[in-house]
Amino acid sequence: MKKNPVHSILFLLTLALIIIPILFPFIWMLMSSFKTQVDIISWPPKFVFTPVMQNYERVFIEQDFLHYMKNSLIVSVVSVFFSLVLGLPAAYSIARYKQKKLSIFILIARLMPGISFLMPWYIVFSRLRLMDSYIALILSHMLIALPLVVWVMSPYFDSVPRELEEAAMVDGLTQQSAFVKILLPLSGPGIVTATTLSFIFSWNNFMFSQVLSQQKTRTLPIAVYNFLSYVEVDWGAVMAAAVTIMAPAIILTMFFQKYVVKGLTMGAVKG
Amino acid sequence: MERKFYRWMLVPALLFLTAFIYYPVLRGTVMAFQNYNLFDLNQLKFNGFDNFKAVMSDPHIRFAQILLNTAVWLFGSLFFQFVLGFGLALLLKKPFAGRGIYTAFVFYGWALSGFAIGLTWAWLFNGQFGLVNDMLMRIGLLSQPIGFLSNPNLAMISVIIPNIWYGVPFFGIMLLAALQSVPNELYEAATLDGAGAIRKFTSVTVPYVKPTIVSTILLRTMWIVNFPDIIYAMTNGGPVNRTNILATQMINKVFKEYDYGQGSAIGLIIMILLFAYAMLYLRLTEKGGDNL
Repeated sequence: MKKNPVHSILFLLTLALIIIPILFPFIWMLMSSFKTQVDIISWPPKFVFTPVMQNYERVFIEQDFLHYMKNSLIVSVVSVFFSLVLGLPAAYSIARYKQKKLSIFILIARLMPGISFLMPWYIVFSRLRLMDSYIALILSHMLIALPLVVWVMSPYFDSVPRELEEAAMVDGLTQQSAFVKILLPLSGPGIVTATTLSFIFSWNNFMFSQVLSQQKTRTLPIAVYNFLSYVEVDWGAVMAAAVTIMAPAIILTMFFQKYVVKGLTMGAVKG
Repeated sequence: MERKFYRWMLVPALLFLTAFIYYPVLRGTVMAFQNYNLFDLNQLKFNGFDNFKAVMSDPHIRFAQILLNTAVWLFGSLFFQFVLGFGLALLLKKPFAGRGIYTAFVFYGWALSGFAIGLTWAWLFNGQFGLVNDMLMRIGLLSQPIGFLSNPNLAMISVIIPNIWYGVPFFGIMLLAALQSVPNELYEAATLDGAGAIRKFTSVTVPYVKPTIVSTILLRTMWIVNFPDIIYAMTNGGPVNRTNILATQMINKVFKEYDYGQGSAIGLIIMILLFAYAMLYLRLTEKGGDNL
């Protein structure tokens, strides 16, 4: 490619123009979360101001967001863990045995509209007196994580040569231990991808938690939703709460950027 | 022996999904034909198509309005998500200094909570102190602040814009990966045959990434129809039902009116519509493939 300076400058300008609307809402949210109640409702909006922590104090001390964060964390971590326990063997089986029909059965679950099975869930869990329990929430979040684990991991296992396990079995390992001792350690990057993705989707989930949680098990987004109706005008605190929801997901994607993008694209590129 | 082992490895996941997805979906389908109201449980019985009739002839909320809202929400979001995402992917296809970091920043939005994004944009669109009002006034498009989310004619656009913002990274990431997988030889061969940039795009790029385009659009359609988190955060379906879509209406039926029968009926309508859409879509894209 020949380098034309005018082209390069236009290209850079385009890049700069694109990034502004993409980053700006986030920056504005961050700025608003550090404004005093006076600054936040000043007109025209202030771009220069003295940052204060009062919104975060409000969110974490008065509203006890640490409690909701803990709930979100419990639900996400446990549901991802059990999704891996169920999903990894299933993905392996699909990859090695080419169980096309059964894999479609699992992947359709990814496309099922969540709201169409939430209501029966709600009724069943109310009857079992499991509303507002971690169990109900964890099970529901597994419905997000499990198909995702299978989706990401079966092409991954497919790419690991079969000979490795066969060699191990010649050496006297059973099929089970070949899977656990040989294949899983080799699949580290794939597992990181599946874990990060399912954690993020579980962490961000609004609908399932909205339906199935109450005071005790309320997750972060639901806590903010309820908080919203009490303090309709306190936008500083609402923005601080929004930052609190987003922060863990952003940190995770920064760390695992490469894995995560790979995982997102895995299913699609294979077509 | 070997086959048996493989089969057993699938069983737990299949059982789990059958119990927690497929069974509830069936249960919901049955409920759509029952009179099932939480305040009226003694009257639990099959009532044929009554729920569907009730939903479609609701005197307070016109069903046609909700269908129209859903279609506008879907196609308005989908079209711009796709076009902007594809444009970004094409722009970022060729290597340049700092591409990795730039790409990370451009695409960070997919990982954020849709609900929190809705909150952020509700604040940007705020009718009294919102930044969007301020900006539009500065460039002279407005003379005084307007209530984007409370104005019936502006509310839908105001929830679609954040949804576009949220969905562009998904298309961008997927299409960029697909574009990067196009073998360079194809472009070289096209150059030898005397193809220009546009010709290369239509004859090499588009056919090669078409499977990705087809599958991402379908996936995203399901998402947009079923995940109204942004609407919840911004308007809750209002004003005067202008942003009320099938999904939000279904939740309202269940959690405000406690009418599980009618809620299930709406759920079934959503599923049938999406299924029909997917079938039609796949058939059309399959045929279109020969022309591309």
